Amino acid sequence: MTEPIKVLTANIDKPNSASIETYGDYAAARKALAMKPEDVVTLVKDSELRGRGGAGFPTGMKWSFVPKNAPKPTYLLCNADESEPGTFKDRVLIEQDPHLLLEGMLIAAYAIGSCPMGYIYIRGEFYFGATVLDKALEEARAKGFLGKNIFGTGFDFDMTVHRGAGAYICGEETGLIESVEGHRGQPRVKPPFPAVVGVFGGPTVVNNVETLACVPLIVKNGAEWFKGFGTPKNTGPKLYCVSGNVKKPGVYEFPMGINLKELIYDHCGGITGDRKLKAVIPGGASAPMLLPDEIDLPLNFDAVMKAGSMLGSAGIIVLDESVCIVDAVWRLAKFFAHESCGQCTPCREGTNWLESILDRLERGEGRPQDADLLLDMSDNIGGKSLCALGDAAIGPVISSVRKFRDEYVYHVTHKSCLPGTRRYRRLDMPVAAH
Amino acid sequence: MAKVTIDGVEVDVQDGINVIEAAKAADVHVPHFCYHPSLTVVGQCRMCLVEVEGMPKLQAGCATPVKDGMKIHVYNDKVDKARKGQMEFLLINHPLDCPICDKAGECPLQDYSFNYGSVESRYGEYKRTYPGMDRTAIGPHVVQNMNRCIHCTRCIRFTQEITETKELGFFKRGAATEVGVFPDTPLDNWMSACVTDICPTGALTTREFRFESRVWNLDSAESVCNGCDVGCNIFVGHRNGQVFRYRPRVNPDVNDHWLCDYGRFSHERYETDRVVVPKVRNEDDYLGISTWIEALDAIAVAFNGTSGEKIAVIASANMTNEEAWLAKKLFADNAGAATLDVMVDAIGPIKMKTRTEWILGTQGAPNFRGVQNVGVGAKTTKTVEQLMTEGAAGIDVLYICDAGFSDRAKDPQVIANLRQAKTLIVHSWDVNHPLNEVADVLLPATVHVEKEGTFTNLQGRVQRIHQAYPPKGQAVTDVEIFRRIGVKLYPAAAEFRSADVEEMFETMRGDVPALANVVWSDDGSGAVASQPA
Repeated sequence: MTEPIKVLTANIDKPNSASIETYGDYAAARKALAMKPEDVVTLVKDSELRGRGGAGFPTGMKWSFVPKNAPKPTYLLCNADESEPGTFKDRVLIEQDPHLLLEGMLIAAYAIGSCPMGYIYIRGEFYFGATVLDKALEEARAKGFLGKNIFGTGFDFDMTVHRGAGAYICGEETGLIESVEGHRGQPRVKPPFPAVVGVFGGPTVVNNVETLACVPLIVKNGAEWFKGFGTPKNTGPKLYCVSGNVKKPGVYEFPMGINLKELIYDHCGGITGDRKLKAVIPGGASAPMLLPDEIDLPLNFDAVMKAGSMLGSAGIIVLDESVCIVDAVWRLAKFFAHESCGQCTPCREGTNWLESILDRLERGEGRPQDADLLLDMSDNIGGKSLCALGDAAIGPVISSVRKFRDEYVYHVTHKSCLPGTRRYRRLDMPVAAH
Repeated sequence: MAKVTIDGVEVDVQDGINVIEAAKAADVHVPHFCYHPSLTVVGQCRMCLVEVEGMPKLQAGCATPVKDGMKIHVYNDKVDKARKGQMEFLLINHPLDCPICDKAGECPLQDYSFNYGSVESRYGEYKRTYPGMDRTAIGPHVVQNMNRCIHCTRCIRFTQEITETKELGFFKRGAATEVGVFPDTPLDNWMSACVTDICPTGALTTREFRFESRVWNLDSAESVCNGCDVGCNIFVGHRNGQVFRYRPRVNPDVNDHWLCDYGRFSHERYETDRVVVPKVRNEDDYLGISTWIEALDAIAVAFNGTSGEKIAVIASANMTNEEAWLAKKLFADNAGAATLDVMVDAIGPIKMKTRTEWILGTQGAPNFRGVQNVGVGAKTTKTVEQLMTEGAAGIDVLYICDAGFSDRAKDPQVIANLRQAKTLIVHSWDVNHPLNEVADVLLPATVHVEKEGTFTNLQGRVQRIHQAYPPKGQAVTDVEIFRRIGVKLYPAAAEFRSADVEEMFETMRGDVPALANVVWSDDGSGAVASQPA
């Protein structure tokens, strides 16, 4: 059995873990600032660190896309808009170990070059996290770890915490950039990509909290040490968020690639009430569902992708046999319809339509053609929308219709949920408008 | 230059332009709603999705720059499925009220729904509506029906990028997203009605044209706005001798896609009774209806009984180049009139954006520059200003080529001063103009949509206007009036034999230096304009 590790979470159980006294004196940043920026990028490239926000894009490569000698300053944005349902790993790091993130940002800013300013875009609901970060920033500034001439190297860098107003779409990097600039939070059309034209017109790197938190560890311990966790191409420690019908939900840290079945049954204590497993969503709300016979797989980017789903932000939602799948998918579809920014056609109209159909099915007003309609419509949304929200919205719908078609048909023919399943919504309550 | 293949057609296009523009070179139309050549690219409507070989996903044609060697498919099964899908999404919440919509007939949404829409809807839910936003006046000219909106944000970008007044914005999100004005900031700018042109649905319509006519019942004539000296290119929408609307005609060098509200609604001045017959003052000092023969006789009597020094002519900046040239030929060269001058009222300034820069209209008439170019006002003993303020005493014949040559011509004092001339001959189209009553000979004239000819705008650009409908009643164009007088007074002179303005323009090239090198161009969009001289 793979044992949990304490690498990213090394500090979080310590008393007063958020203070700079507990954390230390930014030894990794001192080491990095003594290196050449290119060497730091190479080090991160060698570590094969992949973005922890969901897409799994190699971080070192992302940094190297930033053009040198751009006319405008480069910016570093930390994406702390953790709003994917089922994901709560960044929150732990922000609230318990903010200095790990700050040190990671300092190193990242140094590595990408000519970066005078970093922004931590934190979702508005993380009020406590924002206050922790603000306090941590004060501490770091007081120690001279931020500001002018850091560690006497002549490197200037500072950061600010930007609180969002509670929009999932602002976790999309160009939506985040728009929001930081003070505009309506809606994604931009690409190209140009943020690495070329990002926030305030300057080249911009957007990294997830957990990604940046890995950076000091890589600098401190080296790329080989980092690669010691996990398998080639899927390296490093990884935080897994487990929620849903398990006995011990929570954030677990393992080397990348823990077996999903082992995670659920051994580490999380199995299913609540020892019921049967029905489906697992392995990577946050947008990941396609996996059936019980598909879960014997390592939780890394490539293996989950091969299984037809995605690791995403590693928000694992466990559904047991008592869950009405149409109700669960309806709830997810409602989330995406509610969070669609409304600018592009397939997402604005499509997500709302998906939700209406699922709502109708759940109310016992389903029609025989609905299952096929959901699939065909999803095809018209997927890959056609301006940003990835459209693709995210169809993940649970397509997978559930394919894998639980019988249950959809049952809703149409019997005008009710499968016996033994329950829904979490009271149908007599009016559905609130968006 | 980049060599790209679009649906099998290989074309050379400028490197880095987007697929929609590149496809035009291959004569392939990429359906689109939100893309507009003069606004930023947002890639929102997803209608312009095309397949680019080598890219896994379909790409938005508006946001994809072409690269050398790119192979693009605008029409294949994969793209067709996607396009029909987007069309379905756009139509599920659209009211489909084309039968009562003013945009029907010239509506991109309607056109594309014929091409890519489905006869049977798969949408079994309630349509989204925006209660209270279905006939909202969001400004003095623009009425919004949010139910018809497809959220392309062209109007928002217009107010952000062209007028920079930023009245419009997106509110709410998801399916509830709405376009609206910010509180207490109505859509009230000098080009506000342009949003109705660029709106690809009937969501934005003008108060003035709303429910006035089905667009397919209107005829259209290519013309130039006569509101100011910018000379915006327009389509005159007309039927049965009535102008219903002006619409901007694309000319990237002058008005691009735009038209100011003042110019757009300036045709309302033609909604008046018209002078339709000549009138001559008789021995009893009564201005009575006459025939053209009687009127020309009266003019001949006046001209023959006097010498050139005592003839004064007030031309007008509303005249076309041809009219002004013929007037100069008639009065200065043949009759030897000592006074031949033109003036123009100041206006605005009205800002207008070409594709690249702002230009300012400062004159209240379209052709002051052109009239001066042909030689009017070059040699004159008195100016119009002098005639208006000092009076026309001592002048035997005062010939006013256009009663509306200046707004000041309605001032009773100015009228009294002008009336000091022994004989007053006036062209007028407005039956209510006060100069009409004091004229000795009143000739029925035409408005600019009834004329053929050319105007020269502030850039020196010579632009052709076309007749929308024939003149009213017995009215004739000024060219024809001068020709009739010329034939009557100087039968030997060659220039009065023909009223063909295009032929006349060729003659003028030899006579007017500013017109000698005019080259007519046609950029393919229907805009006809010359290079600046």
